[in-house]
Amino acid sequence: MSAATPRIPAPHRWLRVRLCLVASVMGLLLIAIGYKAFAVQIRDGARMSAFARAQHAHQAELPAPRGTLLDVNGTELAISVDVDSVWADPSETVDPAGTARRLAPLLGVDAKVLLAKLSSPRRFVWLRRRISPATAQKVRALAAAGIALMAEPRRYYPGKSLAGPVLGFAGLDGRGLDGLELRLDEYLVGKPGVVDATRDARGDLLVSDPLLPAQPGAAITLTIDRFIQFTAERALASAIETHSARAGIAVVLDARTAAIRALASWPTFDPNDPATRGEARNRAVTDVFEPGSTMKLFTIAAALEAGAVAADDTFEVDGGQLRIGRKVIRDTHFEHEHLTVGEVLKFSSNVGAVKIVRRLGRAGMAAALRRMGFAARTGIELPGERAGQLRDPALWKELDLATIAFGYGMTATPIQLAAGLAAVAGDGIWRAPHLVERITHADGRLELPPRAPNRVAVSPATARTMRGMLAMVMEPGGTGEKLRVAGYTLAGKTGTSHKVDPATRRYAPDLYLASFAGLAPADDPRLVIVVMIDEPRGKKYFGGQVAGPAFAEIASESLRYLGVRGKPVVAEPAPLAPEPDSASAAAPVPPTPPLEAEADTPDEAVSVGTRGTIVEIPDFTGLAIGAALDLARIRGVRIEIEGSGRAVRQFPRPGRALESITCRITFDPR
Amino acid sequence: MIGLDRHLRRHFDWMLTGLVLLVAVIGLVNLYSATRHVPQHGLFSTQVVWMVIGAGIFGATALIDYRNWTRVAWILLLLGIVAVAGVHFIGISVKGSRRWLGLGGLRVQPSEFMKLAVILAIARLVHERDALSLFSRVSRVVAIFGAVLLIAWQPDLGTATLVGLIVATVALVAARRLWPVLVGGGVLAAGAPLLWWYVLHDYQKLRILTFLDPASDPSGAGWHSRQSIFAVGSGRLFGKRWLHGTQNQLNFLPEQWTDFPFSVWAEEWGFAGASLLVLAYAALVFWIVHIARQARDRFGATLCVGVAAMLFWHVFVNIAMVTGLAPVVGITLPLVSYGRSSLVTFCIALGLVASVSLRRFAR
Repeated sequence: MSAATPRIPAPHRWLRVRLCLVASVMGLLLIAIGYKAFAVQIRDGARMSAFARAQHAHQAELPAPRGTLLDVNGTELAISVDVDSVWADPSETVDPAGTARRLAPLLGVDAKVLLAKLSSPRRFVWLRRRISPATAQKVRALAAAGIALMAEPRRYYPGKSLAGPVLGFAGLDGRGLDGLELRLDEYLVGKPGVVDATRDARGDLLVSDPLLPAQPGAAITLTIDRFIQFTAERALASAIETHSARAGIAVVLDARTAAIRALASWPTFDPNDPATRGEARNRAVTDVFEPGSTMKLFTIAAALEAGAVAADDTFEVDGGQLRIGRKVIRDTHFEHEHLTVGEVLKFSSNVGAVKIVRRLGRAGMAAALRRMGFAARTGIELPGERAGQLRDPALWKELDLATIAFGYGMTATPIQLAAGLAAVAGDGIWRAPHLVERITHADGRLELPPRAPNRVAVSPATARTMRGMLAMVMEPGGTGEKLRVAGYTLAGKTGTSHKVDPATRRYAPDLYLASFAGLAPADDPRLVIVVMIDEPRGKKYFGGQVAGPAFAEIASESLRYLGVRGKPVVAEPAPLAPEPDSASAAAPVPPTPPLEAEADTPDEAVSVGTRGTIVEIPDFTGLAIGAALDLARIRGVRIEIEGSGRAVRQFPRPGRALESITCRITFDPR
Repeated sequence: MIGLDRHLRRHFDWMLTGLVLLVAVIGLVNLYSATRHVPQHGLFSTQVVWMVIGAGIFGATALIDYRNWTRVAWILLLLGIVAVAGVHFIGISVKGSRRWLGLGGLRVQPSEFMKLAVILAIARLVHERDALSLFSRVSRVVAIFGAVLLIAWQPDLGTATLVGLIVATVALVAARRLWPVLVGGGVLAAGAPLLWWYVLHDYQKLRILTFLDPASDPSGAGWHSRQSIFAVGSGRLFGKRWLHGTQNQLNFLPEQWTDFPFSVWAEEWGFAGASLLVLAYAALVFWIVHIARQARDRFGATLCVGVAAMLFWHVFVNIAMVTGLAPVVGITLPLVSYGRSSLVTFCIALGLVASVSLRRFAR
């Protein structure tokens, strides 16, 4: 060692003792630290983890897109689109008063209301749900602390009021509240996904991959045909307007399957704006009526089937009057004293019907009506269906049996009449009327909802006889003689019933229910159509005059649309139905593209020409990629995706374009 | 004087070097995770560079005979006092604390080096006390206490307390008689209320109050403490895996790379990792105490006790603060915290110990 280093004495023994002492104290203190670490990490570890987790972990629910409702051809009737909703975390809001003041004009909410919400002790409050993409942009640009946007699916009904009561509507929380939306809710809701959202110290939300992806609701294809539905609604509305009626119903059933092609109710409403619902409901299933004369066709079918009468039996109608106890049953149209069974139907003779039903008897009549579907719910997929009333036949008096024969003293829903008619004039089989064609689950699985089983109502022979008799109604002299349309022979039964005045509880002399239940075409029915006009107030009130023309219009338009081959017609032009040109009457009629139906529908709705080469490019902006893909698929538009997030630009812009064009959509995460 | 002969190589302290390396590696691994998601860039690479520089400083200090420092001890203390005083007038403020001095582009925290100067000064005092008059001894003690008070006046209460603890520890070991040390300690304890009224700043008082009752202000002054305890506690037994500590990665921990690296470590490696680190520090402290016992002279022994005390109190105060055992004060975790001044100070200090160890059998 260098000599420059000073001499230093060696350490003494006392140093060693004190060193041990100090080292022991240090050791004890280190043990204290170790114990504290143990206490925090092991003893209280679970609690600390929970605290830590609560700070940053938010298990958020990913809303599942609600399933689409489609018509039988795949045209969308109800879709879900993503729209933004504004929410706030008041604990993170820096300047509640200023934020409320700046947000108020954007959201159209009073600043005081906003301030109250922003002063709430909760960590989550909605400020305004379902805002427009433009408003969302402005809120985003505001970048106010504690204010955030969340994409929420919104239900949209492109057809507006088309089939409104049938579709019903879904609430803000995406749950069905009425109509099919309510009844099919379990299929439509899907399963919400779970996402682990993480919040950092600054409060920014970082969303990781979903733990459980949202499972979209099932797409449900309905039996409704948009065109037929539109035609039925139009014919119904025009009949109601012409006759200043209170309400109305039109049901169009596929005669072979009992699939409902149209279920029109008037008044109707636009499910996009549920507040307008008012009196609108599916009257065809929720309302029961005394059907009146249309019931005669079931009386006759029951008697024929039971062998109580033969088709060529004749009945005396006693001058159109029949006394039962103190009541007298009268015929409205008395011309002939002797009527065959078919003529009872053709002239709608009450007395004839009573004489026929007397041969059948109470038990036979009641059992037959039940086989034809009366006094039981059909099981249609709509909420609020009623069964109608048919009392125990053991309690029927003579008068009861007589009135039931022509449709009084019992009640039925229009859908029961349609289903019953489909059975007794089709192949004799009663089939449950239904609105759901198929349910396509998100994973591609197909499902059919349960339906009431088919059952034999009458024999095929009886059904054939009934078709012939119903066609006679339309012949000269019959109650439906004026309802002939060019190209097709139609068949059906009129009904004009007196309604009970709710004030007097007696049949009111001036309150009628005008109805028509018919087949189209007559010989090989494709459609069963029931039209009811409730309380027509004009000079005309007979079923054949009020409901009949609507029936004829729906029948001829729908048959042409369906491409049903008509017959060459040489008869005089029908006064009430549109006249097809001679070429189409002679040749197979091509299906009419439902373009006409679009004319009255909103501009957002897009014409999907069945084989058109023009497509309508929708507005994709504001949509998430998934929603844009869905919309593109539904609209048949090819798209190209750029970026991620929400659609901010698209080319070409919304409007008509050639089908071959590809729409380029730019997405932006902000 | 720089002896690289066989003798020195044979007596090179591998245990000391190994323990220092272990702690340094843990520190770097941890710092990588702690600085991954912070807005400041380049913290990790800067620390790596300074680790390398620090290794060089450690080696160089080890090779220089520690006895050479006796001559410059008082000059270093004087320089330290001037620098700390300078901070008070021309220092640079970071986050409200004025503790740094600009030195040609580098920011230096003189109070860190002051610890070293104080240790050297005490060692020199102990070394030559037999040759000094009473007046000289008292004046030197006063000079050392003056340095401590100067740091407190800066104001850096944490460092001042720490230096005070180092002085007390060394005094307990090396004082010729224990009674002046005990009496001095008693007087200081009695004077603590005066400290509260006349010396402490409001933010310092607040920290102590929230330490005593952390729930009183959870999002304010208690935030640091709470967040740190959550992070440590949520690590449980084996931690959340490296780079997966949520509280750290999401920046719930304030200044996790300087004052709270232990929470990051404890969160990601659990009680197991925390115990390993504490044991490594304990081994290092006790090994330095062991070197002190074997030192060939009083200067070396006192030096080692001083460095052991500095290391120990840094570790203890930092971990106690992080686990909620002590109020939040800006005391770094040796070799693990980010910070040039702290790193270089510890490299020099440990180099001095290595130097004492190298020469313990020298004649």
